[in-house]
Amino acid sequence: MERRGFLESIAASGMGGLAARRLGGSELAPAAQPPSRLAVSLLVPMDDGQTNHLKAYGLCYQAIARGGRCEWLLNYRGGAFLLPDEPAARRTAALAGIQVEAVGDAQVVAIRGTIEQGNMDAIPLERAPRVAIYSPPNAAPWDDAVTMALQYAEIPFTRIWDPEVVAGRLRDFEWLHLHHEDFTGQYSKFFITYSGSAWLAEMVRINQNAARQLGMPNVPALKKAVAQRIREYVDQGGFLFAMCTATETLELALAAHHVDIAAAFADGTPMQADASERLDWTQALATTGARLQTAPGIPSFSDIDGHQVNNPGGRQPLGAFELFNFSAKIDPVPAMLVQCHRQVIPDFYGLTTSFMRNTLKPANIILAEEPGAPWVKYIHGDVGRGTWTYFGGHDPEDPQHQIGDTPTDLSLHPTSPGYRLILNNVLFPAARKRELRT
Amino acid sequence: MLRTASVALVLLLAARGAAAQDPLGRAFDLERQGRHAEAAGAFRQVLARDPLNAPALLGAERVYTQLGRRDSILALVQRALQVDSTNTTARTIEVRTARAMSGEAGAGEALRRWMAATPRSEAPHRELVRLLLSTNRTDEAREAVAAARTQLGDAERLRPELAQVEQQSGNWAEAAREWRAELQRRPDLHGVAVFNLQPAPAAQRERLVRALTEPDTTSGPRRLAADLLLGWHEPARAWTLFQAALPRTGDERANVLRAFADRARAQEGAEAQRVAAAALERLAASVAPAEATRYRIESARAYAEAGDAAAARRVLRTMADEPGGQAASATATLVELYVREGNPAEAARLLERTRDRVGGGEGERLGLIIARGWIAKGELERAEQAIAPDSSLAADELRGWVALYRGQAERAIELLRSAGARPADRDRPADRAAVVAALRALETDTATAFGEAMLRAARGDTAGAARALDALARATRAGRPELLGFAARWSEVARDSAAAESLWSEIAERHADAAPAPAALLALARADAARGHVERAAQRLEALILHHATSALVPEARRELDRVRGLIPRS
Repeated sequence: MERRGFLESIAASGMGGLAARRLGGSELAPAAQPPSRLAVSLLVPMDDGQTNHLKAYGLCYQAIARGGRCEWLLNYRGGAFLLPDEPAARRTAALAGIQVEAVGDAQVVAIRGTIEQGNMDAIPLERAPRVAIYSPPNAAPWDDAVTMALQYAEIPFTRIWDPEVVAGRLRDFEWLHLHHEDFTGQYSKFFITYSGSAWLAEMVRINQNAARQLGMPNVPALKKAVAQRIREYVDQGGFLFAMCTATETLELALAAHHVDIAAAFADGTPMQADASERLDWTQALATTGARLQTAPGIPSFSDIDGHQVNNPGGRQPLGAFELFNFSAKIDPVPAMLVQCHRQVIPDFYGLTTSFMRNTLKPANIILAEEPGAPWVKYIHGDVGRGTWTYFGGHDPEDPQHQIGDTPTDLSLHPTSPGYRLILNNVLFPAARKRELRT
Repeated sequence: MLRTASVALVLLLAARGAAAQDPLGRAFDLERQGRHAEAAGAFRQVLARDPLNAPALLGAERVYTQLGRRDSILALVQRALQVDSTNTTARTIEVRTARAMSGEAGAGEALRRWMAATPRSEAPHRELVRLLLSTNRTDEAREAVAAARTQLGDAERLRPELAQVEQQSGNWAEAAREWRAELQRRPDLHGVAVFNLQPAPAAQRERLVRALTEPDTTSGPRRLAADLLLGWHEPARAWTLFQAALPRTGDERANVLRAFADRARAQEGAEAQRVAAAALERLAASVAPAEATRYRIESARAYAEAGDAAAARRVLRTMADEPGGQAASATATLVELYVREGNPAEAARLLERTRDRVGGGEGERLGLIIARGWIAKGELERAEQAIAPDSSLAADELRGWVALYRGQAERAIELLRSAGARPADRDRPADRAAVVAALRALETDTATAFGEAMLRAARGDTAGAARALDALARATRAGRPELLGFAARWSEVARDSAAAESLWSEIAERHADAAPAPAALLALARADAARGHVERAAQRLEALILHHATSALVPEARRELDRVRGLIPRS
């Protein structure tokens, strides 16, 4: 099913379904359900009453995977979920410390009445998306915020990397995540800062091996080919979610399909002198008109990133970003992506932290911004039949993240609003109706 | 109207700001914004007035490289060299640009011109060696150094460059000899030498140290060897070398001691801390009295961390009776040391003598430490005396523990409960709530034996306490699971994990609904996980969470469950 059809189906199933059920349920007696017996549904509140927001996404995902009919109640109690009341769901909730409320028919009817009268909607979640995480084979699970979030929420995923992408395996997945991969093939430009580090040597070795095995002349060429495959995946209806460096470097790799933008340490030749002028922005998903960082020793890629965390001359301090409000009934997709129990969230650095407004294509939807700043934090858009979402920064609970830092333990941050935004993206494709056509 | 006026004012101010901005600053701003063509114009403007301006020359080099117009740099360089043909910045840029445009032949030409213009300067030769090293041509680099020395008529020149050539060739001892010679001439290069030689592979280090400490060596290279040994985690050997190479007096002596002590203090391990302490003590003798006090306290702390209480006490003893704020810190450290050494009487005497200087809050804190020292010796009355003037919750809690040890169940319950939400002491595995629960479950005559067993644990005989509690549990019915729970805890502290596990298993299997059952399940799950029995660990944790849902251990059990399933890092 393509994205526009998907949106139409969401709109149709949301309000239409609600109206019918509200009429039917209005005559039911408001009988309370005894807690020990199964009720009709479990309401999973996602406001401040929730004790583990992150695991609640896993609870919902598992309920969908079991074939249960679940609903996402946009803007209702912080973006609550309504699940069938099953012993498995109750057990999972108890073990994980997820707050759930057993609700009977009458309470469900009352909830639907509230939803119809406000800026809210109920979105059916019908199919557990097959999730792929693009990650090199030697990556530790704690390298990447999305891997950590999925693992903690117990949402299953498959790791894929360059060989699988080049071989066309992306078609097996509805949702693809990219994190801190450098698609310009320059190993995040760590060559000077971390020269001699064993992990960097290993990164170079496995990337060069992959390039050789796949018949590519060098790593930057391999990454361009992978970036192109990812673009095709989105174009054909895939859901892409990227964070940190992957956002910016994917854009640059796509725009540089015919230009050498890699420094000599990566491909043996210096960056083309007029590379910035020769970039083809029609191929990029989200950005346009950006200029490359040409100094090979500065771990920054371009002026897409507003914060320039490792660029001594351009580093900007962290502020806080604010989520936009969307109409749940008219704009259900952006509304899903910003469901959160906090409107304002402290910012966090990554090699790419934010996106400069002046480099964004006009059709993008801004989901979160730092008011008054020239950059935004969280953006979304369509390409072809698919969608992409970019979230700047590396780890929402480790704002100053440095290589070698202790990994984030999400059991200490079960109500993290930043991590919730990541998990919104995982459930968003569950709202689809039919198979992804590739 | 008002808004229009405000906007106009802002624009006016902005225009004035731009006009007033320093041209070089404007050029840097333009470069940072990626407006390279405009930045190039701005740099040229600066160079028109001052052709030798180094930041502007380097800036022009950067932006013209970005613009792909390296030839434009050469024109600026030529003008600079017309003003001063020996200018190092201009010559270096000329070499780099020539190399980028015409390869090595071009760079060679530029270097020859530079050498001709400055026949007595080593700068062009240094640049040549760097170029050769950047392409791993070490033999040619060595030849270039030799040629430079011949041309300059001085065999001492370019030693740091030759050291790098040797280092890149794997001859670390030779590199060290070059640094040794250079440091005798230029001691300010000590840090550079440490930075360069520190990465030496382990197999080469001994030869390298020998090269730096040959009999005729002066103190500078010996200190270099000491610093390298410290970096290679050989603190005792480093200190021996370092002491023998200390400058006799003056600021330099204090500076090198301070740097050495800081590096040693940052390392882990008793040996490093002992060396840091010795260096700090020596440093204290080299600086003014006010500063010396601070270093002596730090020295005592380092000795204490190294486990050498006698040395720590020696350093502090003279200071505790001195007037001044630092003496209070010395007193506190000394009181803690006396208690740690098992001498609360001496600690109490010292506190009594210096109480006015120490202050109220700190005095009470030290009183509690002394009281624990008395408890550790079994002197309960003197423990109470040590905290007699203290009416804080912490003191009440300690009185509660003393009541427990005396077998005064009701008083212990009252005092321990009154401690309320006060955080538990980290070194006390028996938590207040568990003790209160046990005292309530026990009969009066058993409470006395329970208190005696708990006192044994407080005095350090945790294995004996575990045995006594186990025996007491077998002899009574009321409170048996609680007593078994304490026996298990003290067995864990005594590192008798087999006994602890057996006791926890008994609680989990025979007293599944008793108060210590959640603790038993958690302990058994951790033991299973440590053996790699992940499934069994998960089952126990799930049982804890589902069947003891109101237990205070449920959050910890959830975390443990996430950990055994690999959902969170094993930190």
